[in-house]
Amino acid sequence: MARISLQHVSKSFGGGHGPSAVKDFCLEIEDGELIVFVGPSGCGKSTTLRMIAGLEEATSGAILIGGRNVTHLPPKDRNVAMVFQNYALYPQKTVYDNMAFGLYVRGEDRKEIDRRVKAAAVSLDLEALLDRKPRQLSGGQMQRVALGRALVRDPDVFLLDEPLSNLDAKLRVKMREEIATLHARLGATMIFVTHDQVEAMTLGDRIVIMRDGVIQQAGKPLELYDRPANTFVAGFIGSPEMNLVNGQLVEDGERLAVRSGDLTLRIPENTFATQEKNVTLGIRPEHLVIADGSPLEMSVSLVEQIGAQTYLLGMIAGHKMRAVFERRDEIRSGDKVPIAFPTERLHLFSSAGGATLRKTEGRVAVHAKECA
Amino acid sequence: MTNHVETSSMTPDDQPLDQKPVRRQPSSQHQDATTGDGGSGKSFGKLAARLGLYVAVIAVCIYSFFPIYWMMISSLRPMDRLFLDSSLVFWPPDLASYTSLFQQTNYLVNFMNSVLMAVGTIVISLVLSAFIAYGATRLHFRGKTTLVASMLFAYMFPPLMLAIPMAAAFRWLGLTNSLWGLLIAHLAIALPLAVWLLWGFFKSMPFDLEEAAMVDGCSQFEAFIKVVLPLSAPGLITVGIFSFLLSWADYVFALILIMSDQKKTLPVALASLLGAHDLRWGEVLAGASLIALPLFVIFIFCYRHFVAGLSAGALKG
Repeated sequence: MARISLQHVSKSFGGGHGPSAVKDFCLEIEDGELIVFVGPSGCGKSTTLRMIAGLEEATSGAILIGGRNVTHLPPKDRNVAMVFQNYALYPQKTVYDNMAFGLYVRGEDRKEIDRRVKAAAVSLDLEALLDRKPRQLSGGQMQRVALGRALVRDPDVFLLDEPLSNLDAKLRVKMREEIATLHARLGATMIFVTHDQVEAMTLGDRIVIMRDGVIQQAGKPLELYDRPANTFVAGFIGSPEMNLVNGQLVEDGERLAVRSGDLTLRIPENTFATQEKNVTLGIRPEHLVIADGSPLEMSVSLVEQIGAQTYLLGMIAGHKMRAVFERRDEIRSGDKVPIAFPTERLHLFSSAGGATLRKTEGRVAVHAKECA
Repeated sequence: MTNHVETSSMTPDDQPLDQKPVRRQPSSQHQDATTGDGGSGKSFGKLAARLGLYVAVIAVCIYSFFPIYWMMISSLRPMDRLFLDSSLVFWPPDLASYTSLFQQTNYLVNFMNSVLMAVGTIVISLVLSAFIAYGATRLHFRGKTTLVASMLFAYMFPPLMLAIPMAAAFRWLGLTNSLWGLLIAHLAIALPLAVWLLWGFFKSMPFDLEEAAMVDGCSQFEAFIKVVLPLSAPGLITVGIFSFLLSWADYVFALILIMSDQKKTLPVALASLLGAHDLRWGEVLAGASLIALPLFVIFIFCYRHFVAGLSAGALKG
């Protein structure tokens, strides 16, 4: 297992003159850490992973694995193992040979290969499938073989490129748990790429959120949830996404407040930088509360019952918002629900650029720390 | 608003899917009852269409195979009855034409020349086309598609138009009347088609497999040899069959580039039996049947791969 260091890594296609896929990526991944790259399609997360694997060459910057500069080494010399989105199992080989291939190529002793493959098969519950060809396996089984192929190699780093995206919802949850268990057992350094924020939140020791090839924020899952660095992160982490309202910072008596149309909300003292006039106010749907006697009401246009919780969509003071409550069977579409905005749950972002106005934090600070 | 109210206000088209079958049931029964006659008319039409298809297939088969059948039974007819007997079935077969062919001509030498040319063309075109096509699909360079497409340019010309300048070039290179020269000529025809076929085949193969092999410890060359090539068997077999056909059945290049009897390949050697004063049809038909025999054998054993390889090339190319 090893520490990974990505130092100002950039990637441009078209011989370095084309569009940039990754820009000045800096990150330190600790030994044994499971880090998740998450972001929308085209944000550069898979390209970054492929650069670590050696399948794409970095246009600039340096990649170090275990203190060794591997930036210009071919994939075979990096001692990394990768699980691909579509599994990439060799269709002509049996499960056993698929798992053993990497060891054969590296000239390992046959007995040692057999021991390692069988040990991996036991840990992944693949013993009964060793003689089968990939076409005879289900999606979940193929995924386990792909994991097994990585496992037997005992690599410095495991790279997983959207490994769960081809599985159905139920199997996805099961495999997610298996990967988490595997990581806990092996203590291996793992990088997991996904576009699914639930996978990111549940699996990652840390999450790196990317957009347009740039790290938006890197941190522990709840840090990102509680203190998003900008409106993009605020909207990306959390489901349903955070309610965001553009407004102006105004004085409301002795306190500062954000006003947007008929909505005026006081903000907590000494929490946000207040030199900007145009701001974006944010509150997560699950942080809104039903408060009898509140002057603010939600005119409910849609009620979604998902079992333990009730999702509402409606208008509050002329702003379309979502709210999530513990199960409320009595609420119907067309009802008016009194709503309160807990001050301590509010987020404030700059309208220009969307960076958080929370004091001492922000994307710039996070980025500077990683690149130091 | 309650769910009950919402449901009752729905138009039939708005209704949930699970309610629709109940509503639709009477109309579908009505449709079944009224289409009873129409159904039998439809099935008659289907039967007629299928019958027509069978007749067309049988007609095409007869058209294609009758000359071959005629060639084979004529080669087994007694030589003195070759022009007298036109029966399609007879017994016993007479091998006199075959015996005469082997005794009075250089058939075995010519056969070996043809085998050498065919094997050489297959092996070299397979090796070269696999590397060229793989490079063309995996490497990035400008004008790649145009380059591969232009490789088929040679097929726009009749073989004779290529053979004449080739003969001139080979004379300059000292390759006239040489089997090496003929091999190069056969490769010039077989290679572009082989590259075209494999290009389509490799394009359809996901990059992930090679990348997985490279992460597993292979160089790109090893990934190609150990992962890509074993998966390309249908494409390689198709290329092999095409190369064999082009070389084995070539007449024009062998006629123009080869002069001595000892170096002639089967088609040219066979044609030389048809002298101006001596028409040895029995031997010609026996020789032609023997030329066709390997083609049948190969096609029967490799039919599935051949079709799979062609489809991959056609769809993905």
